[in-house]
Amino acid sequence: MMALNRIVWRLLMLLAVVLCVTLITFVISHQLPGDPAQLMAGPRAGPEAIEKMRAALGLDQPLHAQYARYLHDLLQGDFGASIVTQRPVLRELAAVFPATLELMLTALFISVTLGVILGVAAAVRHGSWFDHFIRAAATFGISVPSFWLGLMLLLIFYGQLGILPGVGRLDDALDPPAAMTGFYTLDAALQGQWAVLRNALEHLLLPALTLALVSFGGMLRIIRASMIEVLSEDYIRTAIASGIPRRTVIFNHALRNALIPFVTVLGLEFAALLFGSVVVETIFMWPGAGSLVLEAIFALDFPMIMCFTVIVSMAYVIINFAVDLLYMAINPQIREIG
Amino acid sequence: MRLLGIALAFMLSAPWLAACDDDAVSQARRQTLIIGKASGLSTIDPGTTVMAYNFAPMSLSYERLLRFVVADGSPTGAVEGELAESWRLDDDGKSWLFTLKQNHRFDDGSLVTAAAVRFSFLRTLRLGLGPAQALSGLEDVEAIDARTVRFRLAAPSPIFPLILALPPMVVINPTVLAHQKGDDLARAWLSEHTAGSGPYRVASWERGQRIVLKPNPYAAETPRYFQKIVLKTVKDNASRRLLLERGDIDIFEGVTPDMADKVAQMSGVVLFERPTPVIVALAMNTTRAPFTDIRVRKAISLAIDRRAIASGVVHGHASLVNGVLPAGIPGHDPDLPEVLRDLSTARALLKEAGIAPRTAFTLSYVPASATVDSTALAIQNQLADAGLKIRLETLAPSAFAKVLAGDFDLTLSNWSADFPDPWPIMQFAYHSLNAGEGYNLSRYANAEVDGLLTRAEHAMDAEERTALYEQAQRIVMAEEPMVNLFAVHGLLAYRTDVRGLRYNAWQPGIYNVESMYRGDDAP
Repeated sequence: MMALNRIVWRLLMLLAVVLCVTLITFVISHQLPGDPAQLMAGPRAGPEAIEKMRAALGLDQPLHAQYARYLHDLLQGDFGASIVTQRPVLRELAAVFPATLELMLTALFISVTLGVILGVAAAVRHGSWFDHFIRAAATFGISVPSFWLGLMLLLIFYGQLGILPGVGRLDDALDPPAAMTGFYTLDAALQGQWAVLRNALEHLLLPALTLALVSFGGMLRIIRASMIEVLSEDYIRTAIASGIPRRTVIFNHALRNALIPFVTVLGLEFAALLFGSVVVETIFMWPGAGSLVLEAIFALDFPMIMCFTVIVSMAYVIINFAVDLLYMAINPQIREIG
Repeated sequence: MRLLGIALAFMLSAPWLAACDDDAVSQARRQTLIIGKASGLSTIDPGTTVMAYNFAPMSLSYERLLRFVVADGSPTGAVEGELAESWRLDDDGKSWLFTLKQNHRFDDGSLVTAAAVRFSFLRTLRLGLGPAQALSGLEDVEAIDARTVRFRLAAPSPIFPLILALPPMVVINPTVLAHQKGDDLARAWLSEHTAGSGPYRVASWERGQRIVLKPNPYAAETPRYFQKIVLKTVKDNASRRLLLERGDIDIFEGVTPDMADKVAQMSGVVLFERPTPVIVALAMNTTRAPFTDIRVRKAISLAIDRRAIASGVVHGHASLVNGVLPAGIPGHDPDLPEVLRDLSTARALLKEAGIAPRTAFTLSYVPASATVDSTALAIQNQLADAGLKIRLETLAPSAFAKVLAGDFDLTLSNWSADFPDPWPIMQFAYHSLNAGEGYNLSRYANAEVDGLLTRAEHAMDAEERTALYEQAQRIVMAEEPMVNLFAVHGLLAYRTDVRGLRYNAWQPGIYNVESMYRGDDAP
């Protein structure tokens, strides 16, 4: 019963957070300098055309009425139309989202691989030079800004060495594979377009590595700390003393238990990558949601900015909620205490 | 873990997956022209935009009735038929009759007809946005038969054929109405699709990233060589330069004056430079005191060292404008003396006008580039020498509306002419009808000038027109609502293997790709 109460309470909080986000983004976007009607009508439109546009957008209504209308549309899945393209913003965002997801998943794959392997290795060699070096690398990863790292990788591997492509998802001369999943790598592989697959992977490497290097440090530290704790447990010592190979003990017994706190962090890390991708996508001209929203910010495309903010906020709170549920499922103490 | 290992091994081996396709990729690259653009496009609907950065896909996907004749990088002032086989002034002296060429087809295979011409121009007028402003004298368009169309004007206009050669004056396939939403005249659809008869058509658009164009199979003028055009947005100048250096873009737009010399020294790259009529000016709000006083405006003009700005800020890639009209436009007087800085006269005029030392004014501008910022800083410093304190107020592009509404002291204006005629500059920058939104930023109003400009606009005799514009120019120069700082040079860099480029520096971003080719691959 307590667990149910907790779930209901968390759901109500979730709704309140999303509502607050919509209110804040709405108020901010309406207080910024710039007139959406002027933007939509064009730079040299006359006052009459601008007024006509203002009425069509409902901007001649009081602010609270505009917000009520915005919420009403939102509940029906209508985030409004882009000021720049006049197309529904949700559709625009959905069109570029596979690019962001492909980048994020690749980055997550790299950062999890690096974080787990190096975290386990550092925990096993706890206190050694290797451990110190890995911890320093993790601290570097956490501290370094993604824009600096991205630019450095771009300058070295594209500008100086010329061994990797610079920007975009694919060479401009190549045509993207027919969209099945929206992931160029997967679609190219499924359609047997090997030149496109190779090119897409090459383009993916630097931006994914930038995102991964920035996020792997946190994961590594959690895995390392968790592994050190688990490795000092009695049952691990017993397993080693009973003659089970050390490798089996580390990966089958210790790592499984050490992964529990890590899995919960993984969800939040994924949501953080969505924000991190804005910077990285801009540097590498990756045509994803991050680039789209940055363009929208420069063009003061309020509906697009608000749509992105609300969706990312929703992703955050839903993942948080899922993490809470996961914790309750994993740890009975939380269920009891509430 | 095993799965992770397999996936990692797959990723690492991927670079060798397709070595055999390298030749095909290389050939595809040769037949692709990549143009690096400094800013993204907002729309490709010809009826809604007058911004030059939107013109490239329009000019390649649509045809106009007429186009400018270009020689040595500049328009000659003459026009030639693109869709029009012939044209003439009608007997009433104010209507223009056009006969269309045969067999020009839209990208769906349908013929370009007089009805399509009528639809396109009436659509622009009904939308009532930027391009409609240039057609303000147009009363009606009649499709007389399938190939003959009449443009009925309210008054005679000698420049009407030149206006029809402007990039937004294209002919659109009327079938776009199938995509109409409400009464938007297919505006939403046309903002990202094309429906024209040009040599190419837009195949895809990743907003803020790139636009891809491919040949229009029904075009009268089929592409000679390039099978794909990519208009790639790379906002950062350094990145654009790096891409050009590595051969990942073929044409580099938006070469800034500070990087021009370095770009010129890059191997395998040509830097093209030509004077243009793009004037950068300091506009003073003539409806707000003390700029209502000619002495104050004169003082500001005399306090500014134009030569120092042209050499220091624009690194010499600009020409001085000694009058109102820049070189290349009829009415420009090359013998006008250079306006030299005269601080003592400037201070005396300010004192005479009752302006106390350290009086503060605000210079409001959109920091569109480093050059604009540097120009504003130079003005601030130079006017400080005359005893004026200038506050700099940077505005977001959308906030420039306050300047258009007249809420400013000083602002930076950037005005141009698309063709060699005084009309675009004189009419929009100095006629009181265009104060504010019409881009007469200084809100200058002089009944005598208005009268001269209106007469000139409708005078069919070339000599009479030039004389009227010269007269108006003299009055404007005497009253100086704007300080013309310099006329910028058009700068464009491209790879040496790009051949056949016929570039018009007056209309940047428009290319004759259909007749261009690469290296020695001339077909």
